[in-house]
Formats: sequence, structure tokens, C-alpha cells
Amino acid sequence: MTASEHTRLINKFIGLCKDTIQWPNILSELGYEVQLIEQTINLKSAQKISPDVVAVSRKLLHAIITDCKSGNNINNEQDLRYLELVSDDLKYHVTVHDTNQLKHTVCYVDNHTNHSQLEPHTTFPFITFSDDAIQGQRDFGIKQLNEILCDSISLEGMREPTGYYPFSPDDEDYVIAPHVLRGLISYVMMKGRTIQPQINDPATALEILKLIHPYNVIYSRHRDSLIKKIETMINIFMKSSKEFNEQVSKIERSEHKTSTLQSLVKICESLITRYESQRHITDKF
Amino acid sequence: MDHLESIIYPPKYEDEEYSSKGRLRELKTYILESNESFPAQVNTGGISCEVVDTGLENMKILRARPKSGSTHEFFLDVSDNRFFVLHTNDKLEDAYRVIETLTKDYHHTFDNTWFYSNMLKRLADKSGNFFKGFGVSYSDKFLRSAEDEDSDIEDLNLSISGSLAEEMQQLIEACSNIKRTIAYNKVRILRGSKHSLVNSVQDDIYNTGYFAVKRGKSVQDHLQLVDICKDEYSETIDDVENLRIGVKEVKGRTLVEGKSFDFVFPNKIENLSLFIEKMFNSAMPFKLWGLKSKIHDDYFKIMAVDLHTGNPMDFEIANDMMRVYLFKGNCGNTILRLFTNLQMYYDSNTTCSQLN
Repeated sequence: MTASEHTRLINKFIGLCKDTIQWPNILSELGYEVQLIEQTINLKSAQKISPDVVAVSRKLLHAIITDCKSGNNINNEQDLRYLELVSDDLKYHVTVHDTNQLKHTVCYVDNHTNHSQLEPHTTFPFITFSDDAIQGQRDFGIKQLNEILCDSISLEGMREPTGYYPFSPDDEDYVIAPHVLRGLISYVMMKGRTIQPQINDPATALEILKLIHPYNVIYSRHRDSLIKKIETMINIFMKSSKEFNEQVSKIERSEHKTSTLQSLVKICESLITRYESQRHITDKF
Repeated sequence: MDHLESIIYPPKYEDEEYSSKGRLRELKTYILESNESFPAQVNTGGISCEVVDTGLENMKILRARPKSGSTHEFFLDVSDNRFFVLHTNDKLEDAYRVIETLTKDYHHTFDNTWFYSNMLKRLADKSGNFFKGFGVSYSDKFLRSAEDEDSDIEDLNLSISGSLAEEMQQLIEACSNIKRTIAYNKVRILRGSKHSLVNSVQDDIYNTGYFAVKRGKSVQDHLQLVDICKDEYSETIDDVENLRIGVKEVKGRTLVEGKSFDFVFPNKIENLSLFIEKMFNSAMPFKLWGLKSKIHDDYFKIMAVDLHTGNPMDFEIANDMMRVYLFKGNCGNTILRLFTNLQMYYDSNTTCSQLN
């Protein structure tokens, strides 16, 4: 049930913008708040960019446009598109009191382990996470950010937040599967109170997506394929375990008790373990 | 109102034997939270409930019939479509059984209202309210494994009222050894005239949203007190729900919002696995179902379902902290249920930065 490295990086960065316990709030202190996650921004140059997170400080009138890199490559075309971004492109996407004064910095967020491979392929600054520190690199174009990120920030005793962003549409199946499993139980529980839910109905997959991803509305690009994936996963879960099917049916009929729910935990855990080793659960269906 | 006037005049039991349970036949009020309108009929846990019209738009009668025994009646105020107020002068045990059955039921979204320690203290400071006493109830039963269940349970039950209550409160809170167990399960509040029994009321307000009239005969003051508490609770729920994670539309822009609820355990959890097992065992009082996964050593993620509404929610738990992610559509009552019960059953020093 591990999140992908990409999702973990997104959560770690978002955590810097939140005033949460046991995680540095360096960006939150400068007034940065997360305004956009995985949204497409049309550029004046007729190009499009899809940064992972856009954090905006209304106080500093500044936006950080981040792309999280968990792999070893920086896409050259993508990098060039980020170079074409002008602050004016952001004014229909973010809220600040004076969009004309808004400035921005594009930066990559990566892991210490792959940083040396990424770094030569771009001129943009980096925020790099290792197990025990955060380190900024290069010029962030704004004094306050440079001051904060020029020194290593210790992560000793810190605990990374994981819940701001559950998964990305690009994540592998085994990352998304536990969310779907939990979403299915949640859906059946809520619907079972009033009507007998139709698990095999394609509309159910959309309902489940809405439950398991707080930012589902931003996924217009990926929504159809994600819904199809969820639908397939539900079918697999229902067919692959008789016990799971029986317990879910009890909840569907609103006949479940505390013991039903307790035994469902073990069944779900074994399903997750079974699919954890399969990176593409839905491919063969 | 007239009926409530009549049931606040029962025979008086000043006998201490009754004081912990509430005077048996006196007016009791419960505030229940629900995310759906009150159903016309509820059949659950061996009790069949039926809502009967009174001719008044927002006032109904709830008739609860157990499989055996007599019918119990509650006046049901549905003027607030989220917080239902139920009044009765039935025996405490009978009334409690009906309320417990409703809140345990998975098929509806009834829940208690959960007044955590600080909120109970705050209620006593509201204009026109006078602090008259408090109660503490603590048991370490929550963190006992099945093998350990027969060993001595450490518990503390205390009820203090009267003119020295405030001094006793300060004395107890100054004692570090027992501070961990001092989560209020009730406060006693006087409302109305301090010198007239007829024009005042003294209620014990429990952390489960239960009000027991202990002295006095002013229904007006009792109802005002219930309203004040309900309003305070409702405002807190609004604050909680404003922090839920999701998206909002602002002038055509889709912006993300929300943050986690951060709980801190000053006394580290000794057995984290047991703590998680107990908290997510699908049972009362936490009402949480969950799948555990490891993030790091001694740091876990729980993908949970709130059994109150059925909504998903996420947790990160270590031995000294817990983050809770409440998503849009989730019910804020869950955070207050969690906080109140952690104070009651784990450690009264537990804090939640968004609720302090």
C-alpha cells in the first residue's frame, strides 16, 4: 500500500505550505498556499503546461510552479514549455489581489537519490528531499525563498505528510487499488442505507472516484481512463474473492454488523497483498 | 413546553444514590447529530421507533418500542435539521438504551454530539451560565489487549459539585500524576437566578450531548442552556468543516483548500499497534474502520471509513502525533468524536491544534 515516489514528493511539497505538526512549514510561513494541483495552464505561446503543484503567496505576490520528478529524466520539451511561461499566463488560474504584480518561479522537486542525474538537464532551481533534509539549489528569483532554501533544512524527527494528495492518475495500478477498495466499501456503506447499490454500474466508478480523490474535478484529461480503471478493479475484487464478495453484499443489503466489518479488514489486507506485487492489475482484463 | 413544565416537577430525590444517574424521572435532554432528516421509522437493535406528529411543525413525538417492555416517549425537536433535540422524563436506563441503539445503528447517521473537555469548560463561561461542578471519568480499558483484559483496570470516577468545585478543580489540575486522567465527562452549570429554585436550573452536561436536570424548575433556562450548547457545538462543527480538503470554485478558478487536523500525544503511545487496532475496530466509541499500512518504522497510514456517515478519511499515526485528513463531504462530528474519546480513553492531555 505504498504511495508512488511522485505522489510522495507532491505531498511533501504541499506539506511545506501547510502549518502542520512535525513537518517544516517554511513556505506556509512566507504565506504560500497551494492553489492548483495537476491543472493544465494554457500559455500565451499556445503551449500548455501541467505543473504538479502551484503555490501562491498573496503576501509576496509570488507563485511557485513545481514539477515533481521521481524518475531520472527531465523532458526537454516540457522544460522548454516551462521557460515560455509568463506570469500573465497565471492570472486566470490563481487568486491574488493584484495579478499584474504577480511574479513566478518554476522549480523542480526531486529526491536526493536521482538529483545528480536531473540537475544537468535544466536551468530551473530545485527543492531536493533526502531522508533527513531539504535543500534548495539555484536562484529562486525572490530573496525570501533564497534565504530560506540556501541552507539545508533538517528533517530529523519529522514525519512526511501523505494524505494531501492520495494518488495521481498516472500512478500504477497497485498504488490506486487500495484506494478503490476502501472507496468501494465506503460507497456501498453510504448507498446501502437507502437503495441497493449497483456495483457493476459504470456510474458507480465515477461515484467512487469522487469519494477517493478530493481533487477529482480537475481530472478532465484523465477522468475517463481513470473511471475505466476503477471499474475494472472493482470487477476484479468482486470476482477474485468469494469472501470479499459475501461481506460486501452484506453491507449492500445493510445486514452488516461490527464483526462483518472487522473480518473485512483482513480480507482487504489479503487482497492488497495479492495485488501489491502486480504493477498492472487491470492490463489483462 | 407545557409538557416539559410538567415533567420538570417530579418527586425530588436528593438522595446521593441517584445523583450519578440523574434523578430518575427528571427531565433529560439529548442532542443527536445526523446528516439526514429524522426518519419516520427506525427499526434497529431490537427497538422499533416511530415519529408521530404533534400538530406543531417542528415538534414531534418519538415512540420507541423495545421487543419487550413498555414504550418510551421522547419529545423530538426537529427545528434544526442537523442537530435533533430529544427530551424525556423516562428512566435514565431506558432513555439511554434508546439513544445508544440509535447511535450504534449503521443504517442511519445518528451520532452523539461530542463535547470535549475544553468545550465543556467553555460552556460554563458563557454569559448567564455559572460553573457549579464537574465530573471526571477515566479508564485505561481502551489500551488493553485481549490477554491483558483480566488484570486490574485503572479507572477514575469523580463527581464534584457545590461551592468548592472550582477550588477542587484547580487542586486536581495541579497534580501532575493524575492530570492525564482529568478529562471532563460532565460539567454542572446553573442558569437563571442563583437564589430561586423556581427561576433557575442546574444541569449536568455530559460530553456525549446529554443534559440531566439536577436542581431547579425553570424549563425556560434549561432550554436556553441546551440552545447555547447546541449553537456552540454547531459553530465548532462549521469551523472543522471549513478545514476539509477538497476544491472550491472562486471566480471560475478551481482552487484547492483544506488542511489536516493535527493531534499531539504528550505521553507517547507505548503500544502503537494495539492503539491502532482498538481505534479502528469498527466499534463504539470511535466508529472507525481502517486499513493500516506502514510509512516508516513506527509511522503508519490508515485508510479509514467513518462508520457514522460511511465517508472515507485518512490518518497518519505515530507514537506522539496523529494527522487526520477530512475530505469534502465528510462530517465534522467525526473530529469531535475522536478528540473527546481520545481525551476520555487515552490521555486527557491530548491536544488538537485546530480545536484548542
